[in-house]
Amino acid sequence: MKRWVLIISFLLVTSAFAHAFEVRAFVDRTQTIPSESIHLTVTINGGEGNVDVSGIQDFKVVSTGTGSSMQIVNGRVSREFSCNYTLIPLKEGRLKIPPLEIDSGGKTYRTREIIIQVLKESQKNAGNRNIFVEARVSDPNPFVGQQITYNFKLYNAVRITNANLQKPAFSGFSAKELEDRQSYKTVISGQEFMVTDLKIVLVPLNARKMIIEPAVLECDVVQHRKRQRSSAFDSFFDDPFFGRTELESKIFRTDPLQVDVKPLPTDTEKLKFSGLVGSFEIKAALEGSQMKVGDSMTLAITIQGNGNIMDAQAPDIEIPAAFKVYMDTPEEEINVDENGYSGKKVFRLALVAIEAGQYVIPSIQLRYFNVSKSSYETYSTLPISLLVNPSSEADKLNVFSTPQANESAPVLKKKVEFIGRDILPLKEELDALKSHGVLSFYQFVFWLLIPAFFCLLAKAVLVLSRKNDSPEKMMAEKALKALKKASHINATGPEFLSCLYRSVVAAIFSTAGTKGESLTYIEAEEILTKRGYSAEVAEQAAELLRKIESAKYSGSNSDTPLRENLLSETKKLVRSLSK
Amino acid sequence: MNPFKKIGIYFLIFFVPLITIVEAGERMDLTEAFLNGIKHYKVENFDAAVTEFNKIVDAGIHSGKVFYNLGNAYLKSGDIGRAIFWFERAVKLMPHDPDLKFNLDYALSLVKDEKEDKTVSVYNILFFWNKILNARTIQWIAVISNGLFWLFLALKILFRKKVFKLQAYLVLIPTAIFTLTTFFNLYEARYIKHAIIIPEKVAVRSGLNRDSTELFVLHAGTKVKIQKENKDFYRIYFSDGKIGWIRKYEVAII
Repeated sequence: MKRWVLIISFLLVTSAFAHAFEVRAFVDRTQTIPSESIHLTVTINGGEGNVDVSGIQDFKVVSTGTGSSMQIVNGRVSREFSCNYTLIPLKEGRLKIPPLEIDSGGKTYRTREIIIQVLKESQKNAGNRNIFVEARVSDPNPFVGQQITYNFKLYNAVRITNANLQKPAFSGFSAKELEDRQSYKTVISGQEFMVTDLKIVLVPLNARKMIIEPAVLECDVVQHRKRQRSSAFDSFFDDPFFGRTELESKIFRTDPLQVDVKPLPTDTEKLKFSGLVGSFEIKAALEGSQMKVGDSMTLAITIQGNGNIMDAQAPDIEIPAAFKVYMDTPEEEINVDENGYSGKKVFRLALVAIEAGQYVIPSIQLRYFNVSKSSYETYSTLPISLLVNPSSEADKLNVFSTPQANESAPVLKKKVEFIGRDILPLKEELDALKSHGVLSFYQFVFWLLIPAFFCLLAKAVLVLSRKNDSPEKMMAEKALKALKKASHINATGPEFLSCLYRSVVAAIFSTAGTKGESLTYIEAEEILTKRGYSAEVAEQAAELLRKIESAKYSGSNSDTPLRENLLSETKKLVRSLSK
Repeated sequence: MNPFKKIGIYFLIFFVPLITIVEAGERMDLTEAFLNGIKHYKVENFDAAVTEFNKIVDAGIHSGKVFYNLGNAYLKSGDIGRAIFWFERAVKLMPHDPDLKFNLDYALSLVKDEKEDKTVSVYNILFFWNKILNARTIQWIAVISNGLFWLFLALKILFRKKVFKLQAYLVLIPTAIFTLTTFFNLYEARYIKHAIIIPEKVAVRSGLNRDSTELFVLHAGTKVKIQKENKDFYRIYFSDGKIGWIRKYEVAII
């Protein structure tokens, strides 16, 4: 009976846990607007698990933490683990939270799909805005090259923090953001807003319809927590430091802007168009009205105005042939403000007079496109008269002239800039298929050891082969080697006699078939006699040894005839013994 | 006939030609893939070009030129991360190729993250040859100079001439320098890994799960140093003070 009770109890307990594992995903609401976030909770009953939210593509996902709880209801134990997320919609329309995978204990569980309806701002919450953004361009219909201003404004009536603005890419424009962002207050429909104003100067590069994408602002809105009671201390503690406020992530977008860029009209004038678009003027000034032959004077041409002044090139100037012209590097002063680029560019030319006379520098013309009038305009300087007097030192005048081929003014060097960017082509040679991998550690060590191995092997073979040589052969070789060395050594060196001695001793030992380093005269004579040499040869050898030792120890080693005599006798003896 | 001799003859008759035929077939396949890759690239079918060049790499070919072509194809198909990854791998094999340098510079100009670690490496100044020569060249210089050292030593032993001893000592200097450099390069390849961010945008987190705080964001093509490995994650170093964890599949190790 007891056994049955135990079995039933066990089954009840296990069934209570067995049915416990369940996953669920739910949101706080299924309808929202782009600027509001929603909260997603994923609960896991009966265990823990890892929630994979990488499948959520329509929202930006921010994790807000996890929690767990345990309950016992009617003897049934349930444990709940929850993961919380804030989701910020990335677009409008019918957005999806796909089934989320939960990995627990090696098994994968899935939640159900949730559909969120993201309505347009106006559909739900128009007119009731504490924060909003807007973007405008100063001219939606500009000409190519005409500068316009893109203006982004953030209006906030409540505190925000962690603001992050993603500006549009402005493709098809050259864009320059103004450094100073302005902040000021304004009142809209009786509500006071703080306005943050950002300006970007845009210059359209092509004539076509272009869309400036929405600017996106992500920020956290500081909100006060709702409290049941209020007291006099509330205002004091109503500070983020005391934790009575909370942050809500929001996202705001401007509307996309369409800019219809017009091409410049066809210019009917023959005069060369400078490429400048805006409003410009040109001035020319000469340092004086008179000069002498050989002197130089600077002509300054200034182009200034509002527009793409940085693109201004030196205008065509007809300088009389009586002058040599040297051009200086242009100077520029360009500013960017809310009206766009403005400033001036000064081109200086040094004129060196080479012939006396009265000359006129004709008017210099600048043709540009005037945006305000939507037409081409020509601005001209007044002609400049210049009197060149003969030099008082005409005889000494020496104006250096370059050869005819280089008569024109020196070329103004400019930094070479890219006008287009692309990558260089593929490598098409078939040797590309040769592998050039590096050796592994073991391969490298192997290659290092191979020559060492061969070297040691050679050494071992040498040692072994020498070991097998007979003493007779070895001593004969030693005798010859010492003799050879004695022949090469300077006749005055002390080493000479030692070599002769070693040679004679080794030759005598070789006849005996033994090894040795030194011999007495008697021993030498005995060995040779025993080996069957004549008494005369034995005596000669003993006598030679005596002579060498006598020369060595008597200090008469500087006697050249004696040395030559000893060398000749040693050679003769060694040869006769080695036969 | 001796049975071993028989086996040797059979081996020579059957297997050697067989191995040669198989190798020639593989070579033909690789050549075809290479030419197809170029053809697809020229008609601006960059994805197909990538597939063809990848076949060559998958066959174990380590070629700077193939890596360069892969980088070009990825760049043209708009995958900056993989383009820079293959250009960086090519740089290891042909560090002085001007085309490669140009294209890598261009690809780097498209990377959204500004490089923050701009300190000049003292190592690069002191061991300048390691930047001038590629790892393979350094290895073979070490092997050849080592061979010469032992050759001179052997000659010295055989002929007992002092001149060989002097030459052996002279060759010993480059042998030591290039052998040590090779060992360092092998150590670096194994333990000091650099990687390239592959997806367009990657969140670097403070821990190993999705709930961990997002520390900063890196973009495709940014080069990082791998500091640690833990299951499916790498701890990466971007610049001084900017480290964090990312998933392994979000980077490719050079």
